[in-house]
Amino acid sequence: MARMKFICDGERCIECNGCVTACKQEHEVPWGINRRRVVTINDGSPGEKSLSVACMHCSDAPCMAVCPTDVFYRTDEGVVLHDKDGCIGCGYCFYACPFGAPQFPQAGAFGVRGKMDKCTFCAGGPEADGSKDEFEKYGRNRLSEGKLPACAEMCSTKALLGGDGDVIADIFRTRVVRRGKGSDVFGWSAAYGAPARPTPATGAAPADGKKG
Amino acid sequence: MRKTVALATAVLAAVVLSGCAERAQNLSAKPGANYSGKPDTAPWKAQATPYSAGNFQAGDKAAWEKAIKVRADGQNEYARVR
Repeated sequence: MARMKFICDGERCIECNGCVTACKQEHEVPWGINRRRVVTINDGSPGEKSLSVACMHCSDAPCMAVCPTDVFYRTDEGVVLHDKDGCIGCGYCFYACPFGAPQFPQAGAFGVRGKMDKCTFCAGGPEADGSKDEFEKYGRNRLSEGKLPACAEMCSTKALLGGDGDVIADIFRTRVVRRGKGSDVFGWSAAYGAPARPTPATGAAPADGKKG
Repeated sequence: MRKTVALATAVLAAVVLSGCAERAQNLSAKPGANYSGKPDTAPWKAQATPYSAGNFQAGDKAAWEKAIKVRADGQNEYARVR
């Protein structure tokens, strides 16, 4: 298996918000938190495009890089997750994310930020798979049930594809060839196309291996 | 002369075909630089529940991957509807 990815096909998305509803229902996401949302570009003009956006589970995730408490990790499947127990709700990840994926519940009348919440690719989090704790903190773990994210599986026009990158890329390629247009994939280069960074010179690191 | 042309053709073909090569897409698990959170278990190690789809047992990675692939292929209506 390569890694899990989302593709949203701008030629097919009809802005029905079925993906948003599926996500909310599956994970019992509270009011005010949108793990997934539909964005419409040039709304109302001919040729408008709608796209379903959530965490893109970046290969080189900026949220992971900026988190001061270092609660992020990436799984073997390429899913970027975080441990909510260590989150301090600082919001750095929100500013770093190019997709606006991190969400923060308003935990009081003065808008105090709660622990960050985001799309988990329906992969739960660092609690026992299928446990009550996992569901309450991260939502349903569909991957451990052999299923794909609810948003993609519920998509009525199959604009939103989710799953192993190789498989959904094949599906998308077939589709583009058949219709002869619309090969652009929003967010692809931002999330998955970052070139590999060269390894920094080891001579600059302190001898004890700690960061300055 | 023929040898040179043949050699140049072979080199040109090799250069052109190298553009068709595909980089490995695999990623390994990566914690944050100083990740101190709880460890997570792989999805294919989870016990089956009444809601599980596909026919895989806990710990059988290949079967889990197959179940996920079948599920992903289900999104291709060109294959589902003929």
